[in-house]
Order: sequence, then C-alpha cells, then structure tokens
Amino acid sequence: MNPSPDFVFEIDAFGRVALLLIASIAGAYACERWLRLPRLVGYVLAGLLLGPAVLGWVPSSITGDLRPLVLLGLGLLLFELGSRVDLRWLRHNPTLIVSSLVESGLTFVATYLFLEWFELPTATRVAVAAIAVSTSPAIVMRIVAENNARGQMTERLMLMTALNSLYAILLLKISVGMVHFDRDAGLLRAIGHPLYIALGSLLLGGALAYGMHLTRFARLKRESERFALVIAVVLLGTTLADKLGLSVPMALLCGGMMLRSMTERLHLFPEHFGTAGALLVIILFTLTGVALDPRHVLVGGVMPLGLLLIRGLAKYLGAYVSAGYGGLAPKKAAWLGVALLPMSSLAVLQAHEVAGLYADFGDDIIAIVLGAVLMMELIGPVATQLALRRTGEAKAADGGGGLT
Amino acid sequence: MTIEAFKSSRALTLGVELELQILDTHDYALTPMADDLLYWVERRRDHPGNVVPEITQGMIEISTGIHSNHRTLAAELREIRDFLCRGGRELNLALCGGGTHAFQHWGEMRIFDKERFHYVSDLYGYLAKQFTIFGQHIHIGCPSPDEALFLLHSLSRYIPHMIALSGASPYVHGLDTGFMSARLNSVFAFPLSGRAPMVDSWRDFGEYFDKMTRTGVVQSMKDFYWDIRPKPEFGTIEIRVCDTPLTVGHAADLAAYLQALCRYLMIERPIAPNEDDYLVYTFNRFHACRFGTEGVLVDPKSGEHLTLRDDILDTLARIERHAIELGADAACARIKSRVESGEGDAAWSRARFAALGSAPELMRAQAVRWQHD
Repeated sequence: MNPSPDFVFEIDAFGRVALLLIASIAGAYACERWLRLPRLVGYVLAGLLLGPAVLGWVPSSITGDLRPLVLLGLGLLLFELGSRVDLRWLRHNPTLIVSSLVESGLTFVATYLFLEWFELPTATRVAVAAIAVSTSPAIVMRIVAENNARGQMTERLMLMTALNSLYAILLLKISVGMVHFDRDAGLLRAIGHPLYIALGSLLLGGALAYGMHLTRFARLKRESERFALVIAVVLLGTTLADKLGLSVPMALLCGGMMLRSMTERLHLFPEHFGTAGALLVIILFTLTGVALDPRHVLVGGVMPLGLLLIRGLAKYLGAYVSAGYGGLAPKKAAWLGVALLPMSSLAVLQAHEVAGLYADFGDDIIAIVLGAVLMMELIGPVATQLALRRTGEAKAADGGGGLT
Repeated sequence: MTIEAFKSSRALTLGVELELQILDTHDYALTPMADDLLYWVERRRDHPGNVVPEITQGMIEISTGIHSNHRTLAAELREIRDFLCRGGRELNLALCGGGTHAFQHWGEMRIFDKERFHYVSDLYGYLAKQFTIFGQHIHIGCPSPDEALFLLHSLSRYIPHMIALSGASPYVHGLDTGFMSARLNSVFAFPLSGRAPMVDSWRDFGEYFDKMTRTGVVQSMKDFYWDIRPKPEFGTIEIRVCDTPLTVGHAADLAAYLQALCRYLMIERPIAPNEDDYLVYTFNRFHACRFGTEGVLVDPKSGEHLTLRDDILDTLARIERHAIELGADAACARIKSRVESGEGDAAWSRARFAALGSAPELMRAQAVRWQHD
C-alpha cells in the first residue's frame, strides 16, 4: 500500500503553458537585468530552451494546440500597428512614400539579385525577396512599447514597417501568381488571384474599420469591454479573411490604418490593447521560440547568412539615404535603417500558406527563410532597441509604461 | 560678478515669447520631438521668428522680433504659427497652447540635452520636470534702467490682470485643479520666484545683485524666476506670469493690453511705487490664479476690495486714450468683451472637456484651435 516509487508526473497542457510563462518571465528578467537585451528576446529564448530543440519539456505540438492564441496575438499587433499609422501624414509629407518605396525596392532588388547565384526558380526568388522586404510588425510594436519610445524615428519606423509589410504580402501573392502561370493555370488566375487578394483584403479591412468606427456611438467607457470589442474585430477579420481566401495580415493592417484615418477623433487604446493583449503577445513570442529549430541555420548553409547580410545592407542604405533626404536628422536616418532589421515570423506563416498551395514551391522557401528568420528573431529586437536608445527616443527609466 | 549695463531701447516696444506644447498625434500626450522640429526648422532658410529648445523635450519656445504695435506683432505671431504647424504636419506632431498639459505626468518628461537644462534639473530635481509648463513672456522696451524699475514696480498692482486674462491651465495630471492658472503654482515652488526687490535705481539694483551673487545663490539674472524681471541686455522688462493662450490672436491681444497699460503708467504716472504695495501682492496673485476675473483684487493704496473683472473694465476705460494712440484699441475691445462675457481660455477648456469626455480629446481640441484660430 505504499505510494508507488516510480510515480511519473505527467505534465499536461496547462502545466506546459504555466511552465512556458514562468520561464518567459524569468528569461525576460535575465535579459533586461543582466544582459541588457530586450525582454522580448527573453520570451523567445525561454521558448527555445523548453522546446524540442533543447530541453524538450514542451513538444512542438503545443504550437499547433495554441495556434488560435498565437494568431490572435499576432492579429492584435498587426491591428495595433495599423491603428498607429495615419494615412493623412503621407498626404502632408509625400517624401515618406518615396522613402518607403526606395527602402523596400532596394531590399527586394538586392536580395533577388543575390539569390541569382543559387539555382532557384524565378518564383522562389521573388517569394524569398518579398519576405526579405518586410520588417516584423510584431517585433517592432513590442520593442517600441517596451521602450516607451516616442519621436520622429519611431513614427517613421512604424509607418515604414506597416508599408513594407503590405508590399511584402503583395509581392508574395504575385510570386504565387507566377507559379500558377508556370503551371498553366492560365493568365487570368495568375493576375486575378493577387488582385483579388489585394482588393478583397482592403475591402475587408475597410469593413472592419467601419464597424469598429460605428461602435463609438455606444460610448463604451469600460476598458475591458473596449478590449473585448477589439478582440472580436480581430477574430472576425482573421476568420473572414481565411474563409474568403484573403490575406489575414493585410486585412488587419489595412483595417487598423483605415480606422485611424477615418476620423479626427481619437481611438484610445492602451498599448497592446491592455493587459490581456500583452499576455497574448508574450505567448506569441514564447511559442515562436518553441517553434524555432537551430538546425535550420545549418541546413540552409551560407544562404541565410548571405541573405541577411545583403538584406541588412540594403535596408540600412535605403532607409539612410531616403529618410535623410526626406528630412530625418542624419543620425536618426542611419539608425532607422538598423531599427527596420527585424524579420518577420509573419514570413514563416506566409511561407506555410504558400506551401499549402504547391508543396515543393513552399518547402524551398521555408528551407531558405527559416534559418534567416531564426537568427533575426534574436538579432532583430536587439537592433531595434539599440536604434531607439541611441537616438534618445527610448525612455531611459521605465516609468510604468502604457498610456497615462 | 556685477550686473551688466542696461541697454536703452525705444519706449513701449514689444516682443513676445511663447512656450508651446509638442503633442503626439496618436494619443495627444507630450512627445519628445523638440529635436526633430528644430532640425526641420534649421533646414529652412529665412524662417520667421526665432525657435529655440526649452527645458524638456516636449516643449519648444518661439519668439518674435521687436514691434511697436499690435498689428505687426499679431501678423508675425501668425506667420510663425503657420510655419511651425506646417512642420508639425510634415513630422506628424501637433502643437498647442495652454499653460499645462492636461494629463501628462511629470515623471514622464525628458530633459532637453543642453548644459544649462541639466544643471537646473540636477539642482531642482522633480521641480525641474514639473516645470514642463507653458508661459507667455512679454517684453516691454524701456529707455532707461530707472524707467524700467519704475515700470516694473508700478505694474505689480496689475499682475493679477495679466494672470486672470491669460489663465489657461485648469487641468493637471488629468484632474481639474479648480484653478484658472494652475501653472503658476509650479512656478511658486522655486526658491527664487516671486517679486523683485523694491529698489528704484539701477545702481541700487546692481548692489542687490552683487550681494546675491556673493552669497553664491545666483550666478546670473536667469536664476531669478520673478514675475517681472529686468532684462538689461535687451533694455526691457519681462512680464512672465501669463499662461500661453490657446490662440496666437489672444497672445497678441494680451501684449497690446499690457503695452497700453504701460504707456498709461509711464506718461500719467498715477502711482508712486513703494514697498507697501507688495503687502497684498501674493493674496491678489492667488485670487487671480484661482478664480480668474471672478477673483478679488485688493487695491494696495486704498485697501478697497474689488472684483478683478470690475478693476480690469475700469482700467480699460482709463487707458483707452493710450490704446488708441498705440493702435491697440481693437485688441483692448476684444479683451473687454471677453471679460464681460466671462469667456476665458480656462473656461473654454473646461467646457470642451465636459463635452468631449476625456483629457486626450481636450488636448486634440486645443491643438486644432491653435492651428486655426
């Protein structure tokens, strides 16, 4: 009747999430306190450590189980970024569009030409170069919030991130169109599909924004209810875009941007839409860490490394020259190029989406891009934070954060 | 260190400095973009006015050239305003008037990177950050230093007028303070704030200044945060009690009213200033800050209790001739109608806050008003 000596304590799903959260908080603390790195890096490292790549306490299946939470967290950040971009600013200062096009265009062309060295189909090169164009909205929003950053470079960082993410999604869809064309799917489908996605996502975003806009008449005073509303809008956007075969990130980014530009009145959201939103953001980054597999860096060989170098150089030069010309102080223009470095885990999601259409085409891209994304998941946040601090736009001491 | 010579300037010339708020167009909090705006300004040749940094990154100061009348002063202020607002639109920031930011917490402020500002910040600690308040300073030209001191002390009776007419800071940290000008409460906290000593010659003033520098308490005139202080290098006295109004138009009107008042005091010499005038000074000042034109003013000579509204209307009648002479009559007429109807900037802010329901919306409304009115 004695208790079994070989009693095995099975960690269930709740236990694993708890473990991940605690490790994330500890990781964030260690990063900030001892390594002077962004807290966000701590979340990713905690996930990487507990995940299958290192300790294996948390199986990779958890990313599938918690996928709705991850998508919701990502959706919130995309919507938040969109809602920080005021399209009226572009009208008052058209050099911003030039600057954004130069930065993105240079990145696209440079990475595309770099990939010529490797024997890859054109569509694959376009797709990889498209992914290289985008700056990670999730990392940028999180690092800006962590550092309480405000200033001209921060404003431009958010604007350029939103715009280059939109270009990247479009370019990626075009690359899919090219694959359609290669496989005799007909010209109509090759051109019509990207066009359908772009216009459809724009319209859906507009509908979401307008719906959200109408709720102001309800005068929701409680923050919890306003947060619930934002969640509902993001969920609705995600599911509708998915059902209609549109781009989820594009719909949410456009939705946020249109909401912001629809009225002069303010939509006052706290950062990440409040505490619950911030929790989703932590989960998003921790699970990104779980999904990372260091072996991808090796598999890709020199290609991811070269890709990162070329991309970094192109972004740096593109932003430095164009933003400097467009009226940003030279020091800030230089750092803007660095701040734009984080690469998108959005890219991975998109690559998976593409892989869903044509397995061989998508797998190629994933193999090339995953290694680069893995490295940038750790280097990117550090680069952005460094840029915010060196330009004096990060707030030195943490004064509690958020909206006051 | 001895005080410098008082440079003579043409009597009753005007110059205005305004401290402005720089707001984030996302949430209308103060945003540390002074550097960015100054860089934008520097890149434009022949820009109007003078634009300089202030103690924290969320504020900027503009100043006009020297004017002899209201019309050209108002025109220059508008020109500077339009110019800076264009910069604001290109940089995605907003500018506005008002003596305080309605909901900013002082702990959030960042000190502008300049030696003097760091010195002040180290010395005064949180007071320096709390000093993120926005005032209008008006310079009045004086032909001689003794004339300047006469005018300075004669004006002390009228300081509550300037406070009540400009009061535009009812909100601090998101709360209604009940004051029309809560900004001045932050100024009082400084050890060298208040009034200048009762001396009537520049030699005596120099002696006082020598004694003060010998104690090591002050190094320059800049260390005095008096309500009115002589500015020898300009040949002016500087009136520093006004909140930055919500519109440039009202800023110019205030300067015109003060100019007419100074002409009245200089020419008619209705009062001989003396130390006893200051017995009621802080009481009057408090009433003007707290209640605006509804406050009480105790006449220092007669001891009579009046409402500030009546005293201002009475003064307006008395200085009318001088206002007409200076071309300040239209401005004085606008001030008169404001006082009669009780429409001040603080009252406007309270009404907007009530209608819009939040401090950020109020700040947005102030930014819109600054840009257009």
